[in-house]
Amino acid sequence: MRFLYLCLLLFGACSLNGSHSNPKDNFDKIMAIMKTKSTAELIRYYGQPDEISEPEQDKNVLIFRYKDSRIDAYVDKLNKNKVSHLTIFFFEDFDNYTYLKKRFKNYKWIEEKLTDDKSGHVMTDRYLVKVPELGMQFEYDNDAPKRKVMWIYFD
Amino acid sequence: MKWFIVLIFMKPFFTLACLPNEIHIREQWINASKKEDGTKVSSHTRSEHCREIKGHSYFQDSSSKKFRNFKGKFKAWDSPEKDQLNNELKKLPPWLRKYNIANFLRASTHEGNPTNPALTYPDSKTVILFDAFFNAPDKQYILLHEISHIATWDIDPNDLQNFFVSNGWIYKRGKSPQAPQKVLVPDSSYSPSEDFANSVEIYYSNPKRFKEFNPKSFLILEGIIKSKEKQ
Repeated sequence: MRFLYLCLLLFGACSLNGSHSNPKDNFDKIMAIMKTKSTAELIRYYGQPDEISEPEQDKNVLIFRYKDSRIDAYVDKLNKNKVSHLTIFFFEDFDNYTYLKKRFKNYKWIEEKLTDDKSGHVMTDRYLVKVPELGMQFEYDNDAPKRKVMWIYFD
Repeated sequence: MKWFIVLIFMKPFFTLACLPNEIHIREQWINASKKEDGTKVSSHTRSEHCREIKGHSYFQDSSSKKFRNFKGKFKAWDSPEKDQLNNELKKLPPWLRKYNIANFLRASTHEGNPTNPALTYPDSKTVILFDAFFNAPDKQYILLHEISHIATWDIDPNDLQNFFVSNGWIYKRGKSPQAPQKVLVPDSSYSPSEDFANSVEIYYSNPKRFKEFNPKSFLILEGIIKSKEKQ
């Protein structure tokens, strides 16, 4: 019995060290989908979308929305087999920046300073992060609690 | 022992949801040091954690901390202003009252922006109030707006995403989040957080206008507020 406890303990400890300790980490699935950019692959992982809509800013795409996963896949209107790009609304309850930096530590990470909030009554310190190998980009605000990231973009 | 193992397996499912009266402290690298009694402390990483805001008055007459993009000087609070601010804070909706402010600082004017009544630093839960705030007739809504900038980061992600989608926000390659063509208040297009703070302000100050402008977003925000009130 002690041996079993020890095995479980070791297994549990190892699971904490993995980059996927966040159960909501969808990045492996997203990277697989964006490798093929195929709608079939998207549906294989996430099933049928909860909602399909057309964004007012871009009439060439349809948005396949997956509410629980907070994923919006932008599907080419003329070629519905092709995912043009995809966003995930991350916004997790921990330091998002630190998590993402560790999660993508094996990739080239580029940061550039962005213009801050123009309203003048809330302090922001915004940056754009690009991970070119993955076609990934997102913005974070160094002055926001937990440096929470809203949308992460993949193409 | 059994419970210990259960806890180890559950740990990855925990999140670090700080309470409204807490402040989030980031993961930090602590350098090696020596205690007074000679004990050596090796360098280590201190995990991110939540710290309760307590033990001091939130009225600060000065601050040793440097506030980015603020070059003015702080001045001492006087009692009537403190009373005035406390009275205004009492008028806030209960869910926003829960967001304790760590520091209220007082300055004459915001350099370069003399009509600005307040300046908020969401991460440190600090609000700097200027003379323009005490001269304004709508103090309650200024505070409501500023504290909403802090609350934005504490909204359930699914609800917040629904709200932004309903408002028409979209994120494209190489661009900041793009606002819809029509917004409730002109400066809502500056950022999603500004849009949220303006929406909360209009929800309380002019609900009819908000409901007519975007009934779906109005209902989503109402749902967010109701769920926050229950917490």
